Amino acid sequence: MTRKRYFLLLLCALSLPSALDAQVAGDSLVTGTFQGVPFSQFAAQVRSMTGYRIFFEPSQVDSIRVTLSADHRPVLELLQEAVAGSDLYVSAAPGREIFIFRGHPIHPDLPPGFFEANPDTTGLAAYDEGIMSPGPGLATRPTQENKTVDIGIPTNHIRPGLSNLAGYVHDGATGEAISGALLYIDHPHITATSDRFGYYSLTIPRGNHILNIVGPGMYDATRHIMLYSEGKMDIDLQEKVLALKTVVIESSRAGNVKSTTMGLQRLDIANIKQMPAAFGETDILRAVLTLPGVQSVGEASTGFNVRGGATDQNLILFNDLTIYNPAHFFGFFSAFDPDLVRDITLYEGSIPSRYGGRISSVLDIISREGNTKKISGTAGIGPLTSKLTLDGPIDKKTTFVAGVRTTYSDWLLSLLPSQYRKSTASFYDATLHISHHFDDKNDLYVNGYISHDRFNLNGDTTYSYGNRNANLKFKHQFSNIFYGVATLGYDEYAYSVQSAFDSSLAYKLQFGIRQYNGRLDFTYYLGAYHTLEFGLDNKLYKLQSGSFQPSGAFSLVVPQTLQPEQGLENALYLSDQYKVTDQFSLEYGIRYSLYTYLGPRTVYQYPQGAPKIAGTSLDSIYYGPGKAIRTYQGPEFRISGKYSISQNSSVKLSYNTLRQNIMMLSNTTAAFPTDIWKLADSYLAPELGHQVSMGYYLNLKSNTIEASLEVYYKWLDHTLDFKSGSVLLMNPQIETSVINMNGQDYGVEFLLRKTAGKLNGWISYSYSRSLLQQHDPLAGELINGGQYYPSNYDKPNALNVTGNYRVSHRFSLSLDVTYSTGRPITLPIGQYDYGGGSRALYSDRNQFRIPDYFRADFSMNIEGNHKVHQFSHNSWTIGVYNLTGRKNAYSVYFISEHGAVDGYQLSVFGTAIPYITYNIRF
Amino acid sequence: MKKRGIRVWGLLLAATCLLAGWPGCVTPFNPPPTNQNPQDLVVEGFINVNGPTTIKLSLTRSLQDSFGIVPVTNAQVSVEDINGTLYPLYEQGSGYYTLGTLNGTTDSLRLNIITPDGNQYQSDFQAPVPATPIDSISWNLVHGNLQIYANTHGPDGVIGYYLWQYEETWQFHTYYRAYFLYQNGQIVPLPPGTDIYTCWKTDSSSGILLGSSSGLSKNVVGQAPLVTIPDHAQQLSMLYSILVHQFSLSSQAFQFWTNLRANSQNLGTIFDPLPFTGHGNLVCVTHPEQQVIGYVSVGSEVDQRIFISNAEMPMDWNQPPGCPLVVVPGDSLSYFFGPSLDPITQDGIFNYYGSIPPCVDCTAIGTKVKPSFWP
Repeated sequence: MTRKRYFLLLLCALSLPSALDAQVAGDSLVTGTFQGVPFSQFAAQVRSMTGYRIFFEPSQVDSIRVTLSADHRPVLELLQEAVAGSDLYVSAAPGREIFIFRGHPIHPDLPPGFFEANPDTTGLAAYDEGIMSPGPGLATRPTQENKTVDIGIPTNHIRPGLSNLAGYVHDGATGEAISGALLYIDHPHITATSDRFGYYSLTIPRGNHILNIVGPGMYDATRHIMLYSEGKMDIDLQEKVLALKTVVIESSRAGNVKSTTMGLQRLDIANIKQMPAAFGETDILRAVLTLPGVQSVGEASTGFNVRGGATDQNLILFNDLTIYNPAHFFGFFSAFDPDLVRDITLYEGSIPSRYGGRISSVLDIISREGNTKKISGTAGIGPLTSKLTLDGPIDKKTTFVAGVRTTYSDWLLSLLPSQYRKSTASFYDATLHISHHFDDKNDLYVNGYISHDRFNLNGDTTYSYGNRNANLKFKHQFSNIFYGVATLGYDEYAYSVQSAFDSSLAYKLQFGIRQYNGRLDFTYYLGAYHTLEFGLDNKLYKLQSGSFQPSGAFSLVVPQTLQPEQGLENALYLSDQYKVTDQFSLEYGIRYSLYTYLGPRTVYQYPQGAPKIAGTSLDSIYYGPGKAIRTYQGPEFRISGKYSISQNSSVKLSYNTLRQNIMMLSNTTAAFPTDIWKLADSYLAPELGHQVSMGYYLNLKSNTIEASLEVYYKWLDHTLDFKSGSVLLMNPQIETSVINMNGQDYGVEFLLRKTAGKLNGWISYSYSRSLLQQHDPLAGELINGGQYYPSNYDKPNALNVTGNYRVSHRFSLSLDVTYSTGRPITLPIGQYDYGGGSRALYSDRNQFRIPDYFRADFSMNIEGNHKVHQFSHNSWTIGVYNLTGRKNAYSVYFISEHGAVDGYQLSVFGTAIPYITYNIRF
Repeated sequence: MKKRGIRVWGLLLAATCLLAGWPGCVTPFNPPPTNQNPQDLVVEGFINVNGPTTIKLSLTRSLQDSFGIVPVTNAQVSVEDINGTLYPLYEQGSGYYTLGTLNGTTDSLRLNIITPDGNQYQSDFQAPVPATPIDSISWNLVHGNLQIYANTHGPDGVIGYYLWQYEETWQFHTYYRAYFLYQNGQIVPLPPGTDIYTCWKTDSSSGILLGSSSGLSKNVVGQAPLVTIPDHAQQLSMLYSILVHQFSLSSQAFQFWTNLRANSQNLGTIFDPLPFTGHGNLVCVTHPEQQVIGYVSVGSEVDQRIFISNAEMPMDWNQPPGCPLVVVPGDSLSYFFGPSLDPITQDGIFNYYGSIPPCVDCTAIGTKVKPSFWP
């Protein structure tokens, strides 16, 4: 519809009262004073004065007391005043009859022009004597659940067919958008989920509906709607305040059963903050580790492993910024300030088509949005970090949220043994999110993130590394059912190592990745049963593969700079969420990825059919700037389906293929901030992942208990392992150190989650395997004889229990228990004498395991008083990390000493660690 | 205050385990017993083109085995040149096989081994790596400890890879000079001409000492650390000598030794590469799947010996290294003296003084045989 047309409609609507006046004029005027008169009595008096017969349902009006005085006022106007504020509608009918009904006006006769071939909607609107309702473009914010909201251009005649209802879901207190809210009507069963902007679009039959809204961490809400035609409605939800004694029946909390996605785990920040944390630092990545299917190689290591994938196979997005290193301090802390995070979603099974580039999982971290109503903030003081966040409106259309976190852990290092005492460590991270609402159709979002770490070991070697990211998103709403988002982004990760231990060997090593992103994403709600998403995703990678420079005048180090590399990754995707029947829904998509490795670069050539060994290169070919060296392309399929067996149980099936063109090269057990990244090139093919998974989902006890069982099988092509003893840093012929592997991962995951009540939390158990096999005949070395062997993060049995018990509104207890099989290691199986000492004879790779891992953490959360009107809200958290003090093996190693081979195990948190933190919210 | 106390206490505990190497976090680990009893051939030694070649053959053994090296005897060992000429090595016992000299040949050579079980092993042909002289063996005191270094330089334009081994010999005296002996339950005066105060002791390197000019603009290796002798150590109580052998290696041999060192000496944190056994440059010709360990280099060896005297050490070097002085009443001699305590002297009438054998009797740890090279 054009703007002009709206205007016309509006004019007609405004002219309604006069038309009514004419209709009921004459002897229908009332005079009198009423003081607290029950409505039925008032109606009887009006009838006696005017002769109008007034029809109503006594039970609907028994709470109404009429207080008004009238001096020759029209009867209809008077009745409307009498019921004002309720959800009753007054409708006049010819023949001196007035009907009062709840919910919507009634139309006692046919509209004018009803029998004409092409009814004029203007006429239809003019006929309506209901309360004027907003047309499209004017959003209503109803505050009462039992009030009926008219959507669209009201008509007395509900034309059969479907219309669209769209709008935003907000937090009523702060005005922040709520993503992941489920909206549905029951008859017929049609659902929609709010997207990351809080936007939803529902196409439902016109007419009267009860719309249910279930938002994460919010009270469930319902809206009575009368849908006449396409329209908009924004919904405010109220944040859930904990109810202790009452049992909340959450009939509609069935997201896991009803959605088509599999292997999707969502944690909201409130859950995460309840969990006990090392040193009291709420840690997002540690919370992720409690989810089924997620493992790590050790408790202080960067990154995580999802369903047998390597750490670099996870795409970590923070407001759509690609974060290459998500940890501070060599993996002790995650690099995201929990006070700025709203929720995190981990896709480990079916990965939506809009994501690509990594083959294992997508971790989507969404920051909070600025409070639209007032400036607010939080401050936290812990043993290691201090942090401050602020958010609020800048003007009526712009909000911001910003936060910084920094450490003062130098004092901690001074407690260390004297040989480390000269060490210093510092890190900080800062986040900014701005959203600007131009008008109903156009929004702009700006995101920025920066993290930096500096660690100086004994005053002579300095490691520094950090992420810098920014993006700009522009959202345009073409119509209720169609919108697009254009994103321009820049991601950077860089590190440097500077050593001055020996002046003749002093060096500075540098490495960096720059990623330029441009993407277009469109969402089109096609009818009631289809949601189409399509778009373009382009990335240009530029890698500074390494530079090794002398430092200081006395250094004999030869300057060496590896050739930089660049690659362009373009992808096109289309997906459809299709609700086939009430029971069966399908989500299918395709993503076509085209990757080109670009010059300038000199590529070494190796003899055909012989192992690639440094020094065996025959020749080299030079490719000019921007010249395509090698192209890899292929489709990726993302299919998942859900079949509901009953109202609270379903089965799901999914199949996924993924491609990855940028890989981290690391031959250590854990990822290290100074690991290098490498693009797929003439010799390294992109990694390919395929996954089939199947699951059964069951909700019990009014959806307060969610249970799920998922089984998956994955196979990976061209995944990487490394030749024994290979050097990856500053290696100009890295292809001589890399071995192409096949990967095979499978497992079964069980999750039981209780979402409501005084006791809530989850238990997850998984049995999974992650295996690798060398099939590269040209590697020159056959690892484990070409047999499948466990990867570094193959931990078959993993159990996690995370629970929180609310003793009172102000006091709660949390317990987190983790058990897993020890990770695989290569152990000595014998010894031999060489070089004047006894040496360990190692087994084949990863044939043994370190002792099993067990840890229990406990914390108490004490809230200050809950008075609403006070400057700040305070809370304390007191806890113990590793309650049992178990010395979990972090690594096991063997040293030749005193002529013998001795084994040792190292524990990182080998003792119970008490902590206390203090937080202020204002 | 109380809360702060908890916090500080917690962090103190936490800090103890923050970094690798802190004793509270490192506990002994015994690997699970395995049924594997590996008996692979281990070949150590190098083909010396300018001097005697010594090759040592042994077998790998189980980790729990404490009986020491398992030598391979009755093997046929020979050096082969590219023309097929064989130079047999002669068995010296205990798994050692030697060859006189190869007269400075510059031909490529390899080692042939036929073990008593009939398996034949071969190293790959290698050209001799030219030797680089040792510039100097230097030393200084670092935090009171004596640190000895090797310094060498080779022709520029070539990357030098070096391996060092050494034998150290020292003449020392015990902390107490004894005037008595305890023999057959009797205290007897030390016979004239008997000296248990000064002895010699010899030890050889057990670490893998490597150096390289890789990544440097010159073929120079300066101050490559060889040995650290702790402050007050007995090695420097009189006169100390170290004989350093320097071998020039090929880059492949250097890689083998680097891997061996990494897998046996480096701390195995989670950030270290995965351990593995590097097998070297030998293969079993008769059964290629049979594992064999060792890298047989071809080249020559250069040696240098230096002496360091106690006089060059600080005045307080000969501090008591923890030698107790025990008063033994004359009626309890048999209770105290014996294997755990040796007499030193008498206090005049009745009591004797004693101490543990290493503090009294140098033959408990050393030998009275004066080495031929001793001044």
